[in-house]
Amino acid sequence: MSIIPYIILMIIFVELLLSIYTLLFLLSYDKEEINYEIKDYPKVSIIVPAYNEGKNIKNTLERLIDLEYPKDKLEIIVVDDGSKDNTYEIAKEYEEKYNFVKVYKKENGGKSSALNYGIKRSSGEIIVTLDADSIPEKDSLIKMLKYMYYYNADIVVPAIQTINTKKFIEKYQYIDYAIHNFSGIVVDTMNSVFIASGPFSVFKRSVFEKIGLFDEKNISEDMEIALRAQKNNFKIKFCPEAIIKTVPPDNFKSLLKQRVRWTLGFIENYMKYRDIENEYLREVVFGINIILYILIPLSFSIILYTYGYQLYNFLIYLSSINYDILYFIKNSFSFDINTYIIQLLSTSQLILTIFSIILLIDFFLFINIYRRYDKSKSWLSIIYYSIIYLIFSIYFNAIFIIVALYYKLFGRNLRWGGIVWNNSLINKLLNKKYG
Amino acid sequence: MDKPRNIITIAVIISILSFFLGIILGYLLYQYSFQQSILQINEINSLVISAQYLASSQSLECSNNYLSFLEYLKSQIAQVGLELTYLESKENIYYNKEEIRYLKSQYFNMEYLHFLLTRKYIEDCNITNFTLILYFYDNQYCSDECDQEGNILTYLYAQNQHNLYIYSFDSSYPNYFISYYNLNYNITTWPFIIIYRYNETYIIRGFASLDELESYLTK
Repeated sequence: MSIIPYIILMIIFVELLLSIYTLLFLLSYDKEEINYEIKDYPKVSIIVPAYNEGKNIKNTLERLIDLEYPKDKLEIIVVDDGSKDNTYEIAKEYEEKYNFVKVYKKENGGKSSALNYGIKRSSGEIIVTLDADSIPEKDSLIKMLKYMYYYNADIVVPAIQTINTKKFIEKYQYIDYAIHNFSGIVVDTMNSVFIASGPFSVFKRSVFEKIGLFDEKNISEDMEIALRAQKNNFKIKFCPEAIIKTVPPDNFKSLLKQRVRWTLGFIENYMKYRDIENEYLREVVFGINIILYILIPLSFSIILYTYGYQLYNFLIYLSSINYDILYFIKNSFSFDINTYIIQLLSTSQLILTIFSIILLIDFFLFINIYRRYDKSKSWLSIIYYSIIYLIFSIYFNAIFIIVALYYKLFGRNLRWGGIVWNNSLINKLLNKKYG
Repeated sequence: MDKPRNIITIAVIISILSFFLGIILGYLLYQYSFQQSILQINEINSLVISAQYLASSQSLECSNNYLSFLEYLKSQIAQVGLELTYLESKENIYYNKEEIRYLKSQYFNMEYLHFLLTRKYIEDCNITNFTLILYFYDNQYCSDECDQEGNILTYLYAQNQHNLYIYSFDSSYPNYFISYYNLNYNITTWPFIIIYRYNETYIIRGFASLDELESYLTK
């Protein structure tokens, strides 16, 4: 008796659970109206770490200057992290023009070191981190501050969406970010937001004063700071109404590199914070992420094995009937209801059917809710992008996870910005042996 | 209890219920299919047996009507064979060895009875252009090769439906006639094929290609 049907059943059960949870969540979701007027605007310091951002920095600074916020309460700090292009010179022009813009240049040390450099030189009671390739809406800051005061939160993180959707890989990422934003709404109800996204997160200065600055050696510093804040009982809120546009990787190789870094970051940070007090975060959020990290490559392997085996058999079959394609086509279309009924139970199709129906309802409810916040795309475009996502997500995610696990086990190093990640099992073993 | 915990609890309960509902429904459907297969076998069996009585009690009427009846019976038996393939497939989580063994044993008896009837018809009516193939396989000792041979034979049958019948038997089944063939023809390697064509008998030990099998049909 083959074990594969039982693994498939296990995968179906987890998917069923997630889809039913999503359905219940969507049905009970009630968007709370934030009626809060900021009477006394706090001083806000926006830290923009930039490395070779000559193409983007001008646009980013223009958008920051255009933010709906009293300029006498605003401080924009650009930290050039040893760029080799003209990032510093462009930013300097803005410093000369606007007295609330400050530009610093330092040796290359990675994004976290640039952020820390900026935070140390800032004077605002609110610190905002902004990636130089990300663009906030005019009212994003105000919206997020309203959230901060309304919920008495210490950190507020925004929704993120891609700027471009021209290329296939960008369309894919549009839905990926939409799902990411939706999961932000879900984990927010459990007070378990565990990423203070780089593109535009708002912090109270007191957070850094108590728990310290960004970890300059962490490959996923935005997750690390959020988890450290969670561990110290700071309140993090997700603000779906503030949508920050970011430039997504425009080819598979860059996307793979980004996602491998995220996955490795999750593994590292999970190991560091797995005993966190927040039980939703510890058991539900971490649990689901770990289950998905196991099940996605497992599903991928089963699909690959099944298709590979079927293809092999098909080729053998064709050769044995002297490549009579017409016969094959004719037989492929013959349909018999009795056989179909028997087939129906062969791969637990019944449960799969229930799951598919729930998933379809989930999808339309999800799009309906998502479009309350992000109306930039029509229903048709979202359905079109979703089809792309549905077809490729299992394969893409499996590749991301498998490559990340490979790095975790055998990778010698992974470079990102000024950070060199070398925390793999093989390095640990070699260091133990020779260290 | 707070709202997220409520949703998680309800989701877990509904998931477990619908999951097991699916499993139970699947099992009921499997049982239904199994019962249907038994009924189908009984029905065909009684038809084959009555045809056998008829054939034994009087000389055969060598008409197209009788051949059509045999064709009808063959298609019914083939349907049972197809259902059995799915019932014993690796994907069937409700697979019950004993139940399948019983069904297959009945199925092989039917196949063999049909073979005897057809051979009698061919011999009594002097049909010279009709071929009968007995195909023996053993899933334990010959899995992929026998599957491939099965595919070739299915193809061969599809191309020669009006002058060829193929009967497949699993050598590991303890039906008396299968044991008889195993012993008499010393079947120790599979695939094993016996071809009957108008007073001639050909034996092929081991894998036979499509071209090789086709050549026997034109001999």
